[in-house]
Amino acid sequence: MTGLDDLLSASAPRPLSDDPTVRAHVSGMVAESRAPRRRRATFLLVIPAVGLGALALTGGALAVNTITSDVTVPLTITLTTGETVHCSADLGAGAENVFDDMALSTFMRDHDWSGLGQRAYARAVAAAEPGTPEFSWIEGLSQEVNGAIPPSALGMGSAWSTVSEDCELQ
Amino acid sequence: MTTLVTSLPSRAEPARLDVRAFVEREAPSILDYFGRRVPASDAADLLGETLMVVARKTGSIPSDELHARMWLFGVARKVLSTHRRSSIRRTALADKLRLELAAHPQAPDATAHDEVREAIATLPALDREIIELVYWEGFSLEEVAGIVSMRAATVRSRHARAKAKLRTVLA
Repeated sequence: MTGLDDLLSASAPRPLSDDPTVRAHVSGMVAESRAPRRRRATFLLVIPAVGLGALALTGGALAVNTITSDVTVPLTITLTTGETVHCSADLGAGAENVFDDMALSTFMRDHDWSGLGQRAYARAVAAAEPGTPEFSWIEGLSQEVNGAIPPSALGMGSAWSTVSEDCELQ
Repeated sequence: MTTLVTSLPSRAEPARLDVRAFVEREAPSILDYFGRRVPASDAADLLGETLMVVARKTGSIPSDELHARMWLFGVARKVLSTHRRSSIRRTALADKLRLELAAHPQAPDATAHDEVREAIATLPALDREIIELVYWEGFSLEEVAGIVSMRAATVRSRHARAKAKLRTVLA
C-alpha cells in the first residue's frame, strides 16, 4: 500500500449506511423486495404426446414450453418371451438457462444410444409392478437416459428430460 | 405414443448461498455504492430498483459469496448506467428511505479529500470507475474485471495508467 493508495482509499465519501436508521430502512426494503420462493420440480409425469403444446411442472416452478426432441433413437428389444420388437424413442433434454439448454441438446444428439432399448427393458422388467407394465417400461427408459447424462452437462438451474416411445411391449 | 418428462438434478453445489441473508448483508454496501455517485435521494431509488432486479433474478445469483458479490455490484452498475441515461422510475420500495435521507441529511463530509475526488473525477469514465471500485468499495482488480465484464489484464493496465495520472495531478 503506497501513500497514494492510502489517499485514494481515504477519499471515499462517507457511507450513507453508517446511520442506523438508514440501515433499518434498507433492511425493510430488502424484506419487501423478496419474491415468493420458487419450488423445485421433483416428481414425474406421464403425459400423452398427441396434441401436446405446453407443460408446466409444480405450478410454474419448471415450465417446459414446448416438448421437442433432440434425437430419434431406433430401439431393438428382445422380450422375455423371445419376441423381438423394433420401435423408436424420441429423446430430448432442456434447461431454463439457454447455455445449459444448448449443452444438454448437444449431448443428447451426440451420445451413442445403442443398446438403450434393451437396457431400459431390463430395468423395467426388474422393477415392474403388477398392473403397471407400461409405466415401468417408460420409466426404465427415462432412468437410462437420465443416467447417461453426465453432471458436466447439467447446469445450476432447472433442467428436464423427455422421452417419447412408440413401442408395443405387450 | 407416450411421453415422460422428468426433472434433472442440478450440478452439485458445495455450499448453497443463503440469498436472503446475503442480500440483507450487502444491501447497505449497495446503497453506499450509489450514495458515492449520485445524490442521496436518487441512491434510495436506485437501491430499490436493484433489489427488484435481484428479486427477479434470484436463480441467477452465483452460489459462492465472492462471485455473488461481484454479480450484485454488476447489477448495481447496470442500474446506475440506466439512471444516467434516463430518469429511473421512483418506487414505493424506496419512498421511506428517500424520506429518511432527506429528513436527516448527513453532515458535510470532510473537505480534506476534495482535491483527491476532483482528481479522480478528471479520469476517463471507465478508469474512474475502476479506481472507485478498488479504493472506495474495496474490490480487487480481478473482481473489478468481473464486475465491469472486462479482461483482468485490461483492468490492471487501466488501473496502473489511472494511478500514474493521479500521482501526477496530486503531486
